[in-house]
Amino acid sequence: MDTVDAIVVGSGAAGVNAAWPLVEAGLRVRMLDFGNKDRHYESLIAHKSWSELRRSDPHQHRYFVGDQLEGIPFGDVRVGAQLTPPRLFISEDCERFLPVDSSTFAVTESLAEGGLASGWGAGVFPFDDADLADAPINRQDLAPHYEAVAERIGVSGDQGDLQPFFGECSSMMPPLEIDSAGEQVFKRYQKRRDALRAAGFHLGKTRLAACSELHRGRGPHPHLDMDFWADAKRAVYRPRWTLEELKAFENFEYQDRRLVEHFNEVPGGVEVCVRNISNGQQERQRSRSLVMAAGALGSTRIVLRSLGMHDRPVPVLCNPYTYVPVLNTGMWGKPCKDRRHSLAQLTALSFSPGDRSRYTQAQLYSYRSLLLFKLIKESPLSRVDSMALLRLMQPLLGIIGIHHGDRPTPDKTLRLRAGGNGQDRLEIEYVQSKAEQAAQLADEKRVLACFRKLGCWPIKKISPGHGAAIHYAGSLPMGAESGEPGCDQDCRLNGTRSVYLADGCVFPSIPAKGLTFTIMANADRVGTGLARSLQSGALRAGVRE
Amino acid sequence: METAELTAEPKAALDKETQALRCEALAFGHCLVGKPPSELEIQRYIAAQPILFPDAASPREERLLAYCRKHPAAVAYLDAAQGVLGPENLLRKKILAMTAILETTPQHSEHFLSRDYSRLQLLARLGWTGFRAVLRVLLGIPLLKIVGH
Ligand SMILES: Cc1cc2nc3c(=O)[nH]c(=O)nc-3n(C[C@H](O)[C@H](O)[C@H](O)COP(=O)(O)OP(=O)(O)OC[C@H]3O[C@@H](n4cnc5c(N)ncnc54)[C@H](O)[C@@H]3O)c2cc1C
Repeated sequence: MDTVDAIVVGSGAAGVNAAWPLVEAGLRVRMLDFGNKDRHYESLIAHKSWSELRRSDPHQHRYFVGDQLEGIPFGDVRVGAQLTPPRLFISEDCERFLPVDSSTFAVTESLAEGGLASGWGAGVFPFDDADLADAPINRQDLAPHYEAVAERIGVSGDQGDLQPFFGECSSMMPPLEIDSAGEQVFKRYQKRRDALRAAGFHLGKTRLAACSELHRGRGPHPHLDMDFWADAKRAVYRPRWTLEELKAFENFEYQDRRLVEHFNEVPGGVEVCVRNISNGQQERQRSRSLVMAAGALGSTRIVLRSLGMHDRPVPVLCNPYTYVPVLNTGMWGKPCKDRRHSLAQLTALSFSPGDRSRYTQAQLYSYRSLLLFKLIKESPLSRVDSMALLRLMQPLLGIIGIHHGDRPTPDKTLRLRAGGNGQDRLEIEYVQSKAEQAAQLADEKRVLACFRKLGCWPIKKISPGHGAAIHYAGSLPMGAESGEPGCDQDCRLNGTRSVYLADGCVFPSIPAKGLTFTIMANADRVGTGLARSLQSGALRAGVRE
Repeated sequence: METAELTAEPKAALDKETQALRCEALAFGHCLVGKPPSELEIQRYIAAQPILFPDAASPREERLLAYCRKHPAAVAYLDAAQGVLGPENLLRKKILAMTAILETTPQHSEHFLSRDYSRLQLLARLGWTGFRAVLRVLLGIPLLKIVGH
């Protein structure tokens, strides 16, 4: 097999954005990916609005409930509620191929083409210098890559009160239309803006990786309220849109059904050991360089295995997450627009008065398209009464999702353990200190008090447990001492010449802002830097065997 | 309303278990949307059983289900009482399965889709629905005690 210039592992948000600059530079790039796809539901869903489908489609139960009824959650489904039957392919096969042991941390990984972002909420939240304080890079290092990625994925938003925290974005399209509930909250915010801002609370329309206009052949977003079920007009960003564009390049090759197991550095580059899932054969593939983008946990698993670092603890991070169903009294007796999107309508940043470096990020969603029966399940009343009540209350129902920042401590660790059957397993321990818990409670109280002033009254607070945000990071951090598992400022893996890390594992700490846009920008930075090294010959020239 | 009135198919043709599930589907469907579910919805309910409820019902759960099959009008009361006294119960799970089936059927969508109401209308409807819900709990608890034992 050919020795290519770069092998990229994974086709998620990190993988495709790391591959792009390498491919654009004319280098020969091969992407290895497990690559599960939805072959079942996509074709069933007509391009119609959610309410129209509900009223007219006799086959709707197939995708709303699932052919195996996988959409009826009898268990304690508190993680990734947006992962509806048409999105469940995202986490398929993970239990079998990516085993994890943990009683303190819930893990959702992906072996899908496009990875977790095939079902993400598309919230785009650039980091500023304070957010990157623990990393050896700053906002300026990322700025051109934020711009490049924003243009590639299509970002919409406005220049409101969040602009100072997110920064400029030259290609930004106008925001998507917010729904009636979002409008009511936003109006109230504008009336009380000065007082709320003085209290450290800043609210704006959510910046989304979604096209409000025609952009790279995608969009405009049709506001069908089907974003948790389908990808109408491809308006919401999924990494597979970039993968499709990459496939049009002759110097790019995509190999799916490949499970990357480990790598070795060899003279002139890297040898990657791969299991071909279609035929069970082991393959060895050669490349001048390797870019790991298998998701923070996935990359860490492969790296620790390759470096023989079984049992060695490394940090693990994930934004602590709480969600709060609320009653939006602004909607009392108000008509509801049917035209809407299902993603976060509004985003708030709420700063701690004593410590401006500490803040939470809260996103307001309206509850509709995930169907009533999931709420009926949570109600203690009879099903028929719950149905009647919730139907009346539905226009008032919202969900506030609150994210907190996360930093490493000795009690948040991940280890690779050798398994009895030859398959190793990740073991994760994640325990927060009392001080962290207390700070979070105080921060949640503050942000909810501000939302109350906007008419959003909490019904109850739900802590879905650690790991629930599905924002994993920190396991092979940038700036780690050489000899430690981690990487340098260019994200080159310590102790290697030509292995690079491009996903969330490189961030030494994470702010409350969702990290995926920054993962993508950093992946673009890693790919750009590697392309330069490969072209300048700093890494030895590729050879054909 | 008694099961006999709701059943459309000739009973003899059905095996005992399927017949019991048909009766359940009819009772739950009637309770939720005020009319018997269609044949297709009943079939979907029956097909869902081995997937969602592979384990055998406990004797108490079986007693409750049997009572609901025989007395469909009691479903909402038993469900309400069970919701307060022990929400993780097979009866409630089965009614929820039927709820999901009906919610994703166009014929019943209006029972689940919200409507615009004026403030006063909304208040009145919420008041009445809340009152009915509490009443069902109060009447359901003694009934559940009797049927469950
Ligand atoms: C429901 C949901 C909502 C979210 N919403 C947001 C949001 O609004 N904003 C935000 O910032 N973030 C959000 N996230 C998080 C975001 O989706 C992830 O941070 C991001 O997708 C991670 O991308 P990644 O490329 O690093 O990894 P992944 O998406 O995990 O991709 C990993 C890729 O590697 C491949 N792979 C893995 N292991 C192997 C192997 N051994 N061999 C071969 N291939 C392999 C997989 O097939 C996959 O293609 C959300 C996540 C979920 C699930």
